Amino acid sequence: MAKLFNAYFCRLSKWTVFRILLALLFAGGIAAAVIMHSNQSAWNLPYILAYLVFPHYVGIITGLFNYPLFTNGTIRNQLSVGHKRSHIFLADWAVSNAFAVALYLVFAASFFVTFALCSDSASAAQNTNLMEGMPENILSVSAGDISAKAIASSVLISAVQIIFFTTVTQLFCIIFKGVKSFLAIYLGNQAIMFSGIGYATLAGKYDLPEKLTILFPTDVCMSMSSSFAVDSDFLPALCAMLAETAALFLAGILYFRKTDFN
Amino acid sequence: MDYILKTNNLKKYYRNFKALDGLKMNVPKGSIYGFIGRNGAGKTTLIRLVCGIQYPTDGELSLYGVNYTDKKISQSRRRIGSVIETPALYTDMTAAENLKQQYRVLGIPDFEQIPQLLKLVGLENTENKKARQFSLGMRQRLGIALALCGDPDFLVLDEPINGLDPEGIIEIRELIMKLNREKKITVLISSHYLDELSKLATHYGFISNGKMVREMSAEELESACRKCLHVTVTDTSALARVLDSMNISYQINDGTHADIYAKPVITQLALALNKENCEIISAEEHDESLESFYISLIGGGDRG
Repeated sequence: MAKLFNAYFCRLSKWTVFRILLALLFAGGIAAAVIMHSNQSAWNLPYILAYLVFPHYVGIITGLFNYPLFTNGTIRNQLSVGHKRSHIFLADWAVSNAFAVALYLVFAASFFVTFALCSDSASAAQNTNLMEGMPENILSVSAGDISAKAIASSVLISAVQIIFFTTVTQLFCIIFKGVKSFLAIYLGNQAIMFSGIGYATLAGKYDLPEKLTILFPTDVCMSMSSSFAVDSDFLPALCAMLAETAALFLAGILYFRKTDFN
Repeated sequence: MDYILKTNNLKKYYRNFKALDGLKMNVPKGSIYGFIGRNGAGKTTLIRLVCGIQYPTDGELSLYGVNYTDKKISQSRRRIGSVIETPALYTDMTAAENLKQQYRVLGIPDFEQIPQLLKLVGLENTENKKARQFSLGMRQRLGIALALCGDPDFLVLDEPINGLDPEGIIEIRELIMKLNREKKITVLISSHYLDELSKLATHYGFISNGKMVREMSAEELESACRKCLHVTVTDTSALARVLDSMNISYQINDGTHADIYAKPVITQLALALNKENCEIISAEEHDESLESFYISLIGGGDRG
């Protein structure tokens, strides 16, 4: 299996798309921090990017990495030389996740570091309520309020959410084996996102147990404040997401071991 | 005889469609095995099963004597190089990068042989050209180079000359023959191009509707397709004596039937046989090409 890991990681490290995306997200993190620092009404920008947009659309990006395996049939080159299917699946899953999480970490690192640097040099400009009617936690946060623990927690839960959606992506790629995967990934991720929002809405309307929202990754992230603080639901939510990821992983590997390829 | 690949009663069903329906096949070690059948006959399905891309529904399939259900089948598959339908390439990589990637998949850290491989398939001058810019023929050559990574001793090629120009076809044919002759690589090659196959195959398998219609050696096929005069006589022993005296090659099929591999003057033959108290009952010219032999084997009208 080490051979496959080496082959996959070499391909990823030399993949031009990966390098371009790394550069874009690095720049994007800096830009988000600068915009947020200069205009506090934009506080929710990195929050939306990190929790809602990125995890959902990272699936399409990781789909690009998996694309040649099925559409160009390069998976045949691995199967036909005797690699075990479980090893191929594991190597592909690990590298797809490394790819997706690396993109997020570059974004998060460039954002937090830039924001901290900006805040140090202009701390007097913080902590003013600029827009009435916005939730308190959106507008009253300064860099000093963001603790290392909160940053670590938010990065961790985002990373787990990304792993969840990357696993969903891999499953779609295996099932649909080609171009159709992209549409399936997009629609599948949208369905997961909207099912969470739908449940939250219904829970409020019909008195459904709110605790169950931890089963929806999007809801967990939406409930977190923009100061990246985590509440008491953090650990159960993290465990729920990990359990869902594990279940998807197992379903994927079982399907992969039995399915026919072209 | 040693066999690299053996199948027995091999079945592969896709829901109600029987792609392979009890296929029996034997690929001898050191042979170039031409696998012939029309579209949808089951050629590619068999190759997918051999390479582990798909699983059989039922039956036996063994590679180097190891059954496909055995855990050791992975080791047997490591000795195979394959091109299945279209070559499986990373289109954003150059030819050399594709080969390096396959070397990594195989766990071979040394890339020294790559220039030789590229030269062998005529892609040594592609340099920085990405595979997406390759012509179909160049892709086929790169696919064969990929199949040759790791020095396999069994090469499985599915329609390898599709899309190649006549010059490319000759080059690939010579390459396959060279690999077979010099490196003793056994080759399983499926193709529609019967004439092309007949120039290199040492053994043949004719498949139709998922079943092996006939397996034969090149000698047997040559004999079956050889121009001859098929005669029916009253006494083939008398015919043998006459043909020996006339120095004409022949084959006695039974007590009344024989094939004469020349065009004797019928009057002279009839007179000579008359002296031996033997009569010619009928004589018909037999001139079967590989194509007509193939059609006669699988039946012309039943296209599935």
